[in-house]
Amino acid sequence: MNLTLANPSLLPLAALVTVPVLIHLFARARPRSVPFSSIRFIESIVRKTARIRQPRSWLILLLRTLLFAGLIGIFLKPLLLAPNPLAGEGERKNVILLIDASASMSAVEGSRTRFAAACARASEIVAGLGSGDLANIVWVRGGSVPEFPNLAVNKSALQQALQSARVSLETADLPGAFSRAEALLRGTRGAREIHVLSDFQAANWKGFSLPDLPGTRLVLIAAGSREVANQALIEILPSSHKVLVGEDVELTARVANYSSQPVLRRVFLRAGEMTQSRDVRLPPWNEGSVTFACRFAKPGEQAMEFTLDEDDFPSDNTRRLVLDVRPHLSVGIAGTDQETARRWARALESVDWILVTPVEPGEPPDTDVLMLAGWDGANRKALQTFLAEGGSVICAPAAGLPLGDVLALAGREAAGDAVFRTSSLQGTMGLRVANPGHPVFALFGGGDAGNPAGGKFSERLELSPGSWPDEGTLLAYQDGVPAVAEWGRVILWNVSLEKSEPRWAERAEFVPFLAELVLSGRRGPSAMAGGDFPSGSKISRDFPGDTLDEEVAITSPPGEIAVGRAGAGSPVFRSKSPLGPGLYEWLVHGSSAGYSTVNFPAAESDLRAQDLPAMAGPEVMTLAANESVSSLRKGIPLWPWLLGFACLCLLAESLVVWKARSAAP
Amino acid sequence: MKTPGTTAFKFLKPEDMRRAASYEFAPKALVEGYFSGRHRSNDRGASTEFRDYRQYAAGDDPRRVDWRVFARSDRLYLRNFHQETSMNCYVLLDSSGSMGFGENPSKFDYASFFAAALCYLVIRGKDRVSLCTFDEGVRFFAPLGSTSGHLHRILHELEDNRPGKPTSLSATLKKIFPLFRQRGSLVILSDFLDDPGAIFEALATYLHRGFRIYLFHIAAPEELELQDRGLVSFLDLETRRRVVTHTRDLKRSYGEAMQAHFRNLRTLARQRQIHHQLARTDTHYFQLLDVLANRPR
Repeated sequence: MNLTLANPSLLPLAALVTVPVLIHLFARARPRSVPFSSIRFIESIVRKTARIRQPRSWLILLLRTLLFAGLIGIFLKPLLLAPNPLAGEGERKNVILLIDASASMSAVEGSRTRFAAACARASEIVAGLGSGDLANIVWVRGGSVPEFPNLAVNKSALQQALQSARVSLETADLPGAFSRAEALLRGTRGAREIHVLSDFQAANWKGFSLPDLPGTRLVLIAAGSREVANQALIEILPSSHKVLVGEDVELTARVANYSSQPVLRRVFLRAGEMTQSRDVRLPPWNEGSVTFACRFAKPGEQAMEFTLDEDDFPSDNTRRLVLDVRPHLSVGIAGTDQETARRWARALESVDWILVTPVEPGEPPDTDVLMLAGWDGANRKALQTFLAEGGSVICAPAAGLPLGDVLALAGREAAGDAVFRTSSLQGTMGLRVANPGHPVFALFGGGDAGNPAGGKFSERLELSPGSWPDEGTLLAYQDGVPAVAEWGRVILWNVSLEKSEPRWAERAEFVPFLAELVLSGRRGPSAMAGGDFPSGSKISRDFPGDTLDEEVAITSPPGEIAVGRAGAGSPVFRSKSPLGPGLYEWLVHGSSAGYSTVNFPAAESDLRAQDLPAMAGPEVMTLAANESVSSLRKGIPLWPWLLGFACLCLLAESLVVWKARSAAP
Repeated sequence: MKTPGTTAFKFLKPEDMRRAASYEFAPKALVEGYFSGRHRSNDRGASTEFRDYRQYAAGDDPRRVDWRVFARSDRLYLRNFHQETSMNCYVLLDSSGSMGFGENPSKFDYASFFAAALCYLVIRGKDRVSLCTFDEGVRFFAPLGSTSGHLHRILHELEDNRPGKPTSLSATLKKIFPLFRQRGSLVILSDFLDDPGAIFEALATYLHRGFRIYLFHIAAPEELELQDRGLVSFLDLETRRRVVTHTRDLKRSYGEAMQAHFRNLRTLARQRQIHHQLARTDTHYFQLLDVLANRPR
């Protein structure tokens, strides 16, 4: 920092600092002479008190000198200038105000939000611009947008925009915002400045490196000064998004504690008429979870709302979830091995919550689970699409199919070029449960449902040892060859239902085992029903092609939201404006057609700020919440400090003098 | 030559003389002297008025033995008589520089007025008076005398006298002791700005010899209590030394020091049966004559 004087012409005044010294010396040199009978007693008292009075006298002189120095300093108007200050008042400036309008800026500090503080600071900067200066605002949110298409001269319009601005509940798109700012400044004449007004939330800024913008000064201005303790619902994990009527579903709510204190919070679940609550104990800077158990009696999309009791940052205390409650799981059976397909179909048709539907070859199946009997590698693309959309496949490979093809469906790579080949076993070979802890075997734990590994087999598909992945095997032959294995969303079926002794498919445990396997295939991660959209995006949903535009509507408290078709003839309907966190109900002909959710971005819940001074550089200046931008242009005026200093000296001098008088011997 | 009663002296004005005439000073004052006079002395001596008997001790004058008592009791007793004597009054006037302090009047003028009146009264009572002025040494000494000429000489000396050098009362008392050949009353007019221990050590020889001692402590009000004059340079009237200080800083301490000095002098005086009297220059010196006149024997 450099020190300079705004009134250097008054520098000779500095000589006045000697006035108290001169007065002191003058007063001491020419006191009034008083003849006295004898100074014997006076001398003795003076000697006694000199040790106290003399330092006090020097202290008073020092304080008076400092008082004078302070007063003279006020007139000289000293300024503390940054080493590389911003363009001054006379220079033409092009200023972009990059104002963070992301969700974390809605945190309240004191009596206002961080966003309101940032807008107030921005307003000061705009007010400080000269008549020839150009400026614009870029709002940093999910999709960063400038307030005006180009840099503007109209300061009152900018002020109005700042007054009417609202914070969004979106994640900050920092690269997009800087890119917009750079584009606006490109080709401008004069000094270029980007003022970033943000809370510099570490979650957003830690991984972001400031762009190198030659010829552009970057000023980082903190809008928040302290950390706000916060707890947030960061995720809801259902045991499955596809729930069956009457099935027990576990819903796990993850709660994070972004504070240095351990806290006990209560999580509420509201689903229709049902309300539950659970307490969760959260260690400092850590997270906890609570699990709710639910069962739904009716099919259809079930909207649920999880809420955390109130805290200082309420935006992230609510999350919504939509579950697709179905009367049955649809299972498609296809393939070349007709015998296996027939036995599967016969077994599954006896289960009331499974609906076996025919599958058109070559088309992506519209079922939850697809069972391929004797798959020879056909329709691979359609199968991959099916898996990507959340389906699962139970695959009985045909002889001659490479193992790599099955693994490729599961998104894995084969260790070698092993091929399934039919092999007759010498005699029969039994099975064993390779992974007793797997949910498939939960039903058989008590022994009432029989032994799923009870069959003996005389034929199987052979694989060279070590060619298959070790993990994922559910049932294995006695020699270790997998009989049933789960590799991701693909379940390998290597059991010959014909060549078994006794016939395994006719045993009592076969149907429950197969049903549990189908259920297990459903249990994998899949998309939420209706879709969970990021905050600040437009929500969309597919409807049958014959649905008319005017038949579709979206409602959410407090009212209806404009909706339109995504494109001419498109089955996709989309909200016309980006939406914030909430539960949105799709209506067709006024009847509910499902829900979509928009949840608070979890990354915005951690309100800790990045270390601002660490971000400073040659072209990057940082300003704390209590510092002003004008100080970077004009320097920090020191006269208020000097005035305070002078007042302090005066107070101290009065105190010392008063003390000296009261303690006078 | 000026004559008291007809001519005004500086320190003995006609109106003061008329006022002093009403004082019954001499009869009540304690006097001692070898000359017979009209005052009854406490000293036993040769006179006609019997006082008491005392057993003979070796060295006593055999002429004073009462042989009648010896004849009756076979014991040697002496007869004591009251001695008739004239009054000897020694006045010691401090003329040091410090006595020049004070205004209307200065301590020196005040003491001179009192000395003049005292001398006048003593001589008017046909008694004898001696005056000694001193500072660091004896400046003037008038031996005992009871004539008007003697009084004139004293009054002239007082008029010509000026406060001057530093005082040393104790040294002066030792020096002038041989000049005081006859016992009497010793009246010291001084500001006693000297070491009290040394003063009373010097007075011990006078007490031993039977002098009655009166200390009149002359003090100006402004030296008893410092006036608030701000930052001043005090000039010592005796040593001419200076000390720069703020009166506010030492007012209280100075007052306490003066009080302590005064109390110390008084305590030492009482222990030796010496009369010590504060004489403030803002009171009339006649009040001191009152004190002297009412002093019990």
